[in-house]
Amino acid sequence: MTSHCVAIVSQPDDLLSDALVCQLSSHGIPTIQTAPGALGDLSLRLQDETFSLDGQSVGVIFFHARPEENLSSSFQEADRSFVDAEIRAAWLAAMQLDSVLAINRYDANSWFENLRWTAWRRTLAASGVSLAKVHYGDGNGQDEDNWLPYAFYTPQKTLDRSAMRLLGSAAVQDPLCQYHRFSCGEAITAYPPQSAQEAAQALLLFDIHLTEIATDAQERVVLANPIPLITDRQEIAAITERLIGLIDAHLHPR
Amino acid sequence: MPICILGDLEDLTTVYVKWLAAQRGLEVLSLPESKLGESWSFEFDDGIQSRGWITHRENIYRFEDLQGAFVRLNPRPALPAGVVLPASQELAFVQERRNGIYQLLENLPCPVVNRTTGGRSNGSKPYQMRQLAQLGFRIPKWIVTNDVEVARAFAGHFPNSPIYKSLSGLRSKVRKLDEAALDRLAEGGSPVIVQEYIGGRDVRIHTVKEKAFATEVLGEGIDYRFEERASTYAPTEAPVNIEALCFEAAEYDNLLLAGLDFRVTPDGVWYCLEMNPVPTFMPYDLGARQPIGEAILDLFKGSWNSASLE
Repeated sequence: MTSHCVAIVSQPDDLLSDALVCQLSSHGIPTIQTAPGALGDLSLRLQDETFSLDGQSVGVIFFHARPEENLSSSFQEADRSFVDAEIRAAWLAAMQLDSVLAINRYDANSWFENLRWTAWRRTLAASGVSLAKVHYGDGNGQDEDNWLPYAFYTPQKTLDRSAMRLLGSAAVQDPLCQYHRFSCGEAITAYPPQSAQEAAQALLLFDIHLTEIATDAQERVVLANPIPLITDRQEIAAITERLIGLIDAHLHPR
Repeated sequence: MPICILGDLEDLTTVYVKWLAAQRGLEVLSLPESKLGESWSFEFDDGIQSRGWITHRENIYRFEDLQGAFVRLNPRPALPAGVVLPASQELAFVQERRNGIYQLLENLPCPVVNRTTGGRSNGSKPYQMRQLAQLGFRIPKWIVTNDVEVARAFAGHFPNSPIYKSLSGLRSKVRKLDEAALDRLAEGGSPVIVQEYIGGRDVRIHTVKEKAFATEVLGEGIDYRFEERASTYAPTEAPVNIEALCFEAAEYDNLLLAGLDFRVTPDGVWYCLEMNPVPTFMPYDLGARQPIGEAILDLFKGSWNSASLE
């Protein structure tokens, strides 16, 4: 029996998190499951190499939400922006502890870029993964270009050239075709292209254990999403099995 | 070959750098954030090779034509003139534009002071302090908590009352941990950093690539940045090993310009308090007559081998 708990931060309707809690419970591993908006209600302590919530030592963090979300619903509205920033700062620091297994372990760049695709493209490019071209700013007049908003993971309808210029927006030529999900470097969705596998392996080296890789019609990697919404029960079971293995190995090293 | 001044052109530091550039006879390309899409625009592909250009009025500047970029962004960027949006869309609009500028800054091949990815560790003080400690700096003991009893127990370990400050840098005045602060914590508040108080001299070291400028700050109170009486600034010496650590920390965090704050004890121990990615260096430059602004412009004129700059 471990003395450390698993802290899970996710929206109440997140099926993957619920499945993870069930499995952890069956393994006798205590959990603290919290919605992002309730993080401000937890008693928190971070010192040296220890992180605890409500007096319980935390050994694993599964932060399956966006850091930009409201994290302090019970605070007065005028204070929420500030408190959110404080909580965000605390959890980022907690994820870095050697004593904590963070799924995924985000660094300051990805965290303060709200885990958006722009941060992961830089990581993948620096890792040598071949990527589909993204065009930024003033359009080159390609009507079929798909606008890729910085705040989303799916292309939207094409913006006209003046809008691209005004917003400094990004666009991809080919629409995104397929989404491939990986857990601990292993494919969860069937038959991912080699490019997606390479991308997942590259991100795993940066402690990104759960990710979704989007490719275009030519099987080029366009972007990565570390917080995919997963609703397929078989996928959830496959992901959970792998994450439980990872968690167990961390909490009960042999 | 021009240098770019990008962002909030009314920021005092921006005005100062632009003035220095004019003194040198440098061509300056002024790119106010509010005028993106109006007086200037950019275009590039983030392929294997960074290629692209900036269009400013009728002129086109290829990325490789730019000597450097100095950036200061307003924390609250305004909408472009003439753009009126419902409040629900305004934030999304502004953020999309800001992110576009971030991508531009990340992809310029010239020296950029500083890129968006530079110094993000400063957004979480405990994250940064751990990073600084791992790099070899001595840092004060600290704890993060929103539990008053935890804070009280930690404070009890020190003969002097510790200080407390925010984690994110917002509302970041450093204060002594007193009973009033503990009472507020007991009422339920956001987490704070409670930190060992270190008495001594305040020293700021600015690094500009491989140049260091150490300045002693003669001020009052716990946090000289917020005291009513103006501080005075004087050049000082820093140990070689401290300077080396500063260069390493700035490079690690992708910063061409960094401001590292220290407390130096009476017996000469250097405690690093934080590394600032957007240091307001003018008071140190003008007050202590340390050519920090000139050093930034030296970066842009290629005083360093351009291949080694990025």
